[in-house]
Amino acid sequence: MNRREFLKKSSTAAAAGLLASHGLTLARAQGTQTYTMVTFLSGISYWKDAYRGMQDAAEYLGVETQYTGPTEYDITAQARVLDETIAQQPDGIVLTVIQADALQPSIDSAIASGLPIVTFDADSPLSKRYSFLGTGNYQAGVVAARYIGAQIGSGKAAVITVPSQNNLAQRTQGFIDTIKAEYPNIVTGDEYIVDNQNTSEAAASGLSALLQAEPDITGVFSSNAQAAIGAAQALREAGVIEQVQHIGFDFDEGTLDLIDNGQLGATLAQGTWQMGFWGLMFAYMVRNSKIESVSDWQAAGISPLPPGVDTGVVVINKDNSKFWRAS
Amino acid sequence: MDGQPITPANPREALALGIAIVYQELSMVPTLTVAENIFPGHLPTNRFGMVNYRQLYQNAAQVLEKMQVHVNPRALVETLSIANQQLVEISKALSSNCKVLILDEPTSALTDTEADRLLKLLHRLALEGVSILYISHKLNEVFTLAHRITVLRDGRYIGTEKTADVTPDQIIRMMVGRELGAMYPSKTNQVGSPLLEVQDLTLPNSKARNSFKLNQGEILGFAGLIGSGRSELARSVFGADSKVAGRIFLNGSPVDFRSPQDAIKHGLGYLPEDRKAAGLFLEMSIRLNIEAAVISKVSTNGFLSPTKERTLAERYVQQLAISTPGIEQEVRRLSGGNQQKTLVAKWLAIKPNILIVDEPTRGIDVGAKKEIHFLLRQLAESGVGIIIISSELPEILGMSDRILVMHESAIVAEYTAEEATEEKIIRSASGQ
Amino acid sequence: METTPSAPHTTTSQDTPNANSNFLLRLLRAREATLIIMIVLIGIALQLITGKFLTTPNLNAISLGFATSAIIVVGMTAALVSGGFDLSVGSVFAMGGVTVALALRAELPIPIAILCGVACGALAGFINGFLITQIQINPFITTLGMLGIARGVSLAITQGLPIAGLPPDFLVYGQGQNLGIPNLILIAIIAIIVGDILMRRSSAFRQIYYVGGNEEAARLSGINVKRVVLAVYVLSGLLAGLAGVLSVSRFTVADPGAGSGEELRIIAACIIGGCSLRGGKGTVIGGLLGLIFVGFINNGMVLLRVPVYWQQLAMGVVLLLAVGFDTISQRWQLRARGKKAG
Repeated sequence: MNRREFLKKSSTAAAAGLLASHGLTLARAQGTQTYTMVTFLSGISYWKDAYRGMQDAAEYLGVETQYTGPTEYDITAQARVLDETIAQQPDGIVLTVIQADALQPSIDSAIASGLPIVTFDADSPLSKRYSFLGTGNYQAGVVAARYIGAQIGSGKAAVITVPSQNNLAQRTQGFIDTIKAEYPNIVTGDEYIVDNQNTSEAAASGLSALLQAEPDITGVFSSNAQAAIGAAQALREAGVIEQVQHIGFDFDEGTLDLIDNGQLGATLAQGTWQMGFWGLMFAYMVRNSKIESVSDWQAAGISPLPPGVDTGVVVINKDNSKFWRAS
Repeated sequence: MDGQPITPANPREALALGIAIVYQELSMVPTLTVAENIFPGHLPTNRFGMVNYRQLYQNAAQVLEKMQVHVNPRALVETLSIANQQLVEISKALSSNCKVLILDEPTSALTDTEADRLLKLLHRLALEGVSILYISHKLNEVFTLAHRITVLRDGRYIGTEKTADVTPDQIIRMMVGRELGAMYPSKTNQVGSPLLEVQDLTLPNSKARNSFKLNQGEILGFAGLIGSGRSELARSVFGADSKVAGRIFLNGSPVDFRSPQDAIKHGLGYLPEDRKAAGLFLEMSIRLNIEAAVISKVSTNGFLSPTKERTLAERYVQQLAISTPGIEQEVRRLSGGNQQKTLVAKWLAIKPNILIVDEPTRGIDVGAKKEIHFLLRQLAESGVGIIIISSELPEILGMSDRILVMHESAIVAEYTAEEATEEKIIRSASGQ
Repeated sequence: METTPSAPHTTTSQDTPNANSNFLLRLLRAREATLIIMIVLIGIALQLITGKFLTTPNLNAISLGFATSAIIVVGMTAALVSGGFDLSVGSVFAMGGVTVALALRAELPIPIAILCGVACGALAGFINGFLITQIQINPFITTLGMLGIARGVSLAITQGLPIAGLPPDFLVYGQGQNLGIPNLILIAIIAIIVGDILMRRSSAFRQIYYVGGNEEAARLSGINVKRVVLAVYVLSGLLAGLAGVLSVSRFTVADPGAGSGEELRIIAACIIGGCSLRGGKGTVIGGLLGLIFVGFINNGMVLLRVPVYWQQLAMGVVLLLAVGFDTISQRWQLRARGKKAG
């Protein structure tokens, strides 16, 4: 494309009033579009599936993807990386936020400049992001409660979690509320919570102690991957791994091994692939004006997309675990 | 105070009552300026609560002027000589306009000239109406300065006398509880063959080449002003600091000590001048201090033998008459004299051929001082070559068989015991 | 620091204390004694209140909980006694675990794989020691840097993914038992006993106390300070690596995020056990007692059904009370002795 054509096309596009944006972004829209995923703690494996989903969608749509984010758990660092990403003017951003409100100004100004942003996994609800795709953590706790409830029917149930971590606290609350509401014969509550400080060691020590205090515990919900590994070891060391029903959260090779050799009943897989896949789809739809939920959503001042999508959890057990291996 | 009973709970309260104290160990912040150290608790501030430096330096200059201390109030304390630091410390105490000034061994780090300056200043302050409590082991200072002398021994009050009514010998008797006799042992002239020979040793920051010999059974004195390079010379012979150039011979064969470890293996011992910072393990027991340089000698197959440890420590506690309830006593609970004896014991334990002692009697009582003097002589008589570094001229003259004088990192004069006088040494030491 | 019972000796001193009372006094003065009394009291109290504390399974569970930490305590005690500390142990713990897991996945023989994990820890310790002694960066910054590096290496080589699928023969170290005692606890007991004897009695390890007590005096006493400090950090790294290997064997999974915050828990245990941050003081047994103390409190809070939201607060308060009580009682003893002597 030569300079003259470029100017002509961009002025046409601008005149068409499809998007209130400037020339450079539009120029790129004519060629291959680029979408960027921005995370925090970017080195951890958890985001891999989400980005794989995004890449799958990109292949289908014929666009490019990029992945970025600070490796540390630092609000300022993520704000900086997001601002730098926005300055490079990609065609859309699929973003997960370290803190609900901290990135709102950056998000809002990017949206105002015509750059579509959707959030996934962790939301910034007060910002103008088009949509949020993530696990309903409370709902995930409900699923875990129904699994344990159906397995044991009566007895006592413990929760291994990190009380200071918001998403895990929601899972815990969903679990405890549901057990109390739907399984009156099962005893659980705050005094059955073990703080595992995100390590297997603390999960094992804590559950071991709780098993001494309450020897008739028959159900355990581990709300993170380290908790599941540690709790399984504590049950094994106490010699009650056969009797106690145990459901974990998230999956990695170690968790899947535990399921396959019968030391962990099940685990809950989040829809991380879904978040990446549909996140890009959403951003692409807005960027390329494919959606007309009302006659003119911009004039109406609404998002054309579903504002919140629960990507849900699915139960992995012995019967289906092989489908999550090497994925 | 002024007839009223007072019980100050801390130095700040005492200061408010008009009592200021200058400690034996300097209590200044070396990385701050002189002025900031003089007014630590009451820096002048401007209306924003920030330090008013112009005012601060003016005030400090006034105090120093009054004291006739010639240092720049903007200089960092760490750049001053020890003597000037001591004077700044005293200026700090006086800046509070105190009525009572307590000084604890203020001259222990000063040379004689500097000490004289300080004494004159204190004399002037007394005339201006300040009451002074002067704690010292140095009798000549006490007799020059004090109106009345109080003697304490082993934490007990012994007596108070008017200076005019007593002689130094009477005071010494009160201090040791018995007749002390001569402070210095008699010398013998039976000096053996050369033990240590140092050739053309050069110290950092100097081009002077220093050569000297130490013979068997000899006590060789090193005199000089503070900072004249005596300790540096000793430390580089001992392998503690690197030397620029030079060769060392032991019993005629060349040696090269790369570390104190090497030197100790060859039978050298070095008693450093600052016993608390570089000599003792203060929070450890007498036993652990005495065996520190001979761990392998009190071990069997790589493991310490409690019996050997105890025997060694008890032997030296007895030999040096270290006053302690037992060998497990922490060294920091001992008096200065007993601490110094413990340090000497550590070096005796290596069975040295050569022992270098740097200010061996600084800040300790006359009784212990005399004991250490006699002990060193006894060692020399058994064939050990001894180098003694001291800023006290009577000690150098009283102890040495031969005296070397240093000035600006160079050996500038050598005197035999017979020809040496205080005057000659001072003249050589000040570079004349 | 030393609790060696040696007959009291009197020389020219005026008072001649009775031999027995002196020995008892010294025993009581030792930090270990105070701690043992506190631990016993806590144990009895928990047993009386809950009736479930002093049971074999519960004590087994507590010991398993701090077995790997006990191994790290040996190295940390040495580091603290030398006048430094090692903030990198938690990360090196993870790195040792990840290394052994990767070696096993590469189908190296089990002993070789274990050696790889331990050597990896020792290497991290060597780098710490080298930087501290040769480049003279202070131990805080050096080991803080290593804390980041070792964690980063673990995350980078695993891409953040835990490693599982390890051979069953390897798991016997962390999961099997001998004579009815879990292997992990046996290994920890051996490490503690050997470590304590070496620190107390070996002439080589005695040098660490001298270096920590007064570095310059140690150097002038002919101790090779740099070599001692280097060895201390190698030991600390090596033991952290070993602990990491054993932890993987217990949990069957090498988690690159394992052991985060472990360094502070270990240092706290050592300080409770009588180590001084200024160096020159501390025993391995003291550090172990500190761990037991913390382990009892943690376990006790669960048995007493303290709500999880209050447990950290309670733990902090108990720690300060324990160290505060000890400091005050030592001061009282000093004052009492001072009065007697004066």
